[in-house]
Amino acid sequence: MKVQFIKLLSLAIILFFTLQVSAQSKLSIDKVYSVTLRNSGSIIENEEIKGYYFFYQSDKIDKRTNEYTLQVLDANLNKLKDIKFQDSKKIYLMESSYNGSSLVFMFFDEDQNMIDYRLYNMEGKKTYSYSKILDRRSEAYFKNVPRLGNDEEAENQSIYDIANKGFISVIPIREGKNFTYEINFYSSEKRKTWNFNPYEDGKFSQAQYLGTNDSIIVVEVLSKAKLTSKEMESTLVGINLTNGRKAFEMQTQERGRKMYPMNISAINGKNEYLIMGPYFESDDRVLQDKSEGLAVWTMNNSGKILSSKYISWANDVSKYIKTDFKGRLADMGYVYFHHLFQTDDGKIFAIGEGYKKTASALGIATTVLGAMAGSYGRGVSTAKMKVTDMILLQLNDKFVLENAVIYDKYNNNVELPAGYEFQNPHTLALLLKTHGSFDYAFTQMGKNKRSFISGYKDFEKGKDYRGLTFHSISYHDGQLTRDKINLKTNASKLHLLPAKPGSVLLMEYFKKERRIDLRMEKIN
Amino acid sequence: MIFLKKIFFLLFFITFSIPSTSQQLFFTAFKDDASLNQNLLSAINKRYEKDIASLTGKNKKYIADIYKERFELIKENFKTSEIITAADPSNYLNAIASEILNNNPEYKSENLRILFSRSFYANATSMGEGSIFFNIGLFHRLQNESQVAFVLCHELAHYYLNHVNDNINQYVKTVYSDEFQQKLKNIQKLAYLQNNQLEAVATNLLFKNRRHSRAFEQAADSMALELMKNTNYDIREALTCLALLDSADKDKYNEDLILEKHFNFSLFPFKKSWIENDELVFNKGDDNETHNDSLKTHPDCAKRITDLKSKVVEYTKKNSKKFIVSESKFNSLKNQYDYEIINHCMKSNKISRALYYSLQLLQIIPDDPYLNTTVGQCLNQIYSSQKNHRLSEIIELPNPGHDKKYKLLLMMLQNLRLREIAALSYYFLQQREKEFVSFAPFTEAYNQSKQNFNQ
Repeated sequence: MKVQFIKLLSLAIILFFTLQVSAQSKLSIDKVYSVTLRNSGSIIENEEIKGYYFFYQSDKIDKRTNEYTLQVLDANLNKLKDIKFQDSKKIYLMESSYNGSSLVFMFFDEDQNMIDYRLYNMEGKKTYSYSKILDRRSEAYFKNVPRLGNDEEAENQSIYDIANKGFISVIPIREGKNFTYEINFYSSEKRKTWNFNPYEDGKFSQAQYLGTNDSIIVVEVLSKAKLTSKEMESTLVGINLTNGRKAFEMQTQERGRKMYPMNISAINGKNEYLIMGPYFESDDRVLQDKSEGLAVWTMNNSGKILSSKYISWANDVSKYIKTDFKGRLADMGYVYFHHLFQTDDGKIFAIGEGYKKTASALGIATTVLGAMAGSYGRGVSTAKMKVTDMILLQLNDKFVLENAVIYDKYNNNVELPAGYEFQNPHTLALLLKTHGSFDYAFTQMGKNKRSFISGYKDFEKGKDYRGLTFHSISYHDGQLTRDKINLKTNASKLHLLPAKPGSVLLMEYFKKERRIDLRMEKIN
Repeated sequence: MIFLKKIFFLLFFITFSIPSTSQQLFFTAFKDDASLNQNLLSAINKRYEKDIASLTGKNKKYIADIYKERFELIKENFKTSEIITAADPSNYLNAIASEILNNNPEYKSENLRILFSRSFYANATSMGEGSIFFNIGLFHRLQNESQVAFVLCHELAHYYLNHVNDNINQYVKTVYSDEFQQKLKNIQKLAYLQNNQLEAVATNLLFKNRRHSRAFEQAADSMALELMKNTNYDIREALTCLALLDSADKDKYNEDLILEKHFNFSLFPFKKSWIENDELVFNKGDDNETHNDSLKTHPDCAKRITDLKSKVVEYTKKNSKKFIVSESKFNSLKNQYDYEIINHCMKSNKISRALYYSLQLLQIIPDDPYLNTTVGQCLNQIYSSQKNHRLSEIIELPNPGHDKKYKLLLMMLQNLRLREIAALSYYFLQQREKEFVSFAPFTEAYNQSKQNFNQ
């Protein structure tokens, strides 16, 4: 989504100058002046969109150097600041974050193979700059990130805000034969940084930042013995926020159950926090087997589980929604959890989407026709994935399931490449996620986590309307509401992007008029 | 000229035949005169054609392009009913203009079209081709007719000194000169620092233009005094008017907008979270401080006052008057314009503005049925637009340039949920249900709010 957004904006700039050319026969300043948009994205604080950045190449200085303009906009699309600087020709702006008093911009310098974290105060002055030389694996990762884009623009991938203190970065690295990760803290108060680099002998590990409380940050580490291994081990690592030392490390197992943590929630005034995620039986493989339900643990800063609660498909969810003997939800199939979080009233919400593996008529026909022609089809699999409905689970502040709702949508069929028919549905769900084949769009948290909006797309085939729609599930003042925006308009293209809490950004491109309309609309 | 004279005759008749109006219970908007509208547009069209035909020289195409833009802009003002052609206000404004022009016979009034504009901006504009628009957003802030006369003298001076057209000619002459074109060609050939060089050229051009603008303003001020001194208006009001203009970005009613007072109901109390502000803000730096003075189109009012002071003292007459045409008409128009601004904002879908001005005025006149109704109507329209995801078409997004009070209201509108908007409209109107039941628009708005809130 981000990539398309950038492409469209670049197109808008080109068109603007094209129009100038045709309108004037003599030269004008506009005609000669040209800038190139390199990146754009959201500025995020605590999972909330606070603004946007546009990173332009505004001039060429010499053979090796360009002039850049970093334009900062607030959440209402008002231009706040233009920051100009000169740098290498091959720099990319990866991500940005805001911690309440400082902004960080994370640049990747391909020439110097380096990540540069540049911190700015609220006068727009650069305060600190922290650089990190990359190894080969990190380099490959960062070279790919801009091209991959991020379909959840309300979330960052590598840099996270620590309120008024600084920023945490989590990046993958390679040490000898080990694929591991590195965590860095960059202070915004003074020039101070620490680094956490785990010793993972012979392992292939990747880390995902989960969150922080006042004293520790928590990451989930998924590791396996070999790159090709299907067994994945989930570990929680707590790191002291002041000095970067490991506070604890523990396998995410308790009472014979494994948890796959997705989020943490700090408990105000206590050195405790909640860890949430789907859970599996102890002999299940986290990435390949279906989950048994949802788990919520209360933990302390030493990594001790103080209490735990398990909500199972079979015993708990089945009271609200019909499930079959395999733990599948009737008509919906298995559930892939996209987001799990706690709101400030203590309730926990899980947003998931159903999926099934079914036979593919197209794949079977192709295979049969191929066999008749004497070849073995290498194109389409005889199985396909069916993406079904959305599901929302709501737990009260005692972590008891109090509501489970299915949101109907039109099924979405995803043909699989040949050979994938032998993979189990849960592995295929990860494939769907990687390729953006789920309909889930994003979740945006409201101010101070008092509310949230989760959105998903649907291609409606009704009598009154046939076309793409955006649906939202909102939580506000203890009530769940729904809203829908039809995305079929007179525009040649329409994109919907997450925006400030309670709103979405609609970008309409009118090809004939060579015009882009950006409008912020509130979700009901 | 004939047209203006007719209006002046009419004015006397109307001014003296209308009985002094007591305060109206319900506001009624001015009705524009369709035939006058047509006549004005035809005069504007004639003038445009004449201007285009008179253009000569190698740059005439570029000047014609700008003239066309101006012509379209003026037409748009008529099309969107921004221009007031109702007889009463038009006659009043032209009576003041005739006091100026009759006492300055060397300046011809033919081709002049002096009109009120319904715009809320505190401004008046001389378009350069004979149209002068006096925004009611400025008029309703002024204190007397002499101040109105000074503003008119200033805009007339711009017209007689041909400032707008000179500015257009100067711009075109510079930008399409061989020297400037060569400069652009040279920059275009540069391999490096192309944009930096262009920015320097653009900045230089802008500074030059703004320098001219400021010089034009000073010249218009000086000539305004020369025109005004021949009238019976109190020339000292030129200085009070400039002092007032200095605060023109502030609202007419300088009171705080207390949203908690307007929207706090026992069954639906005001929530602090509605006006919470944690937006990304940059502190004001000193980046452009050195350029600020160079970028201003007008000199500071304090400087303008200093520049004019000695002449004002010299030209002050003992028998001068603050009002010549009609003090009561001035006051009644000022009051009418408070409402006219709201009404025009409503009609032109500037709903957040309409709501803002209604709430502000309600703090002064809390029992006004029209204002109470308008608040409900605005909220109902916001409800319906938000429901259809078209809210951005009728309300502005908060902007650092907005007045603090207006920005607070915009922030609240951004934070309100659909049901909360319905509730606010319903409870707001419900509290006045008994008082305004006979006012049909109120009942209509109230019924709509009930429907939205499912009551």
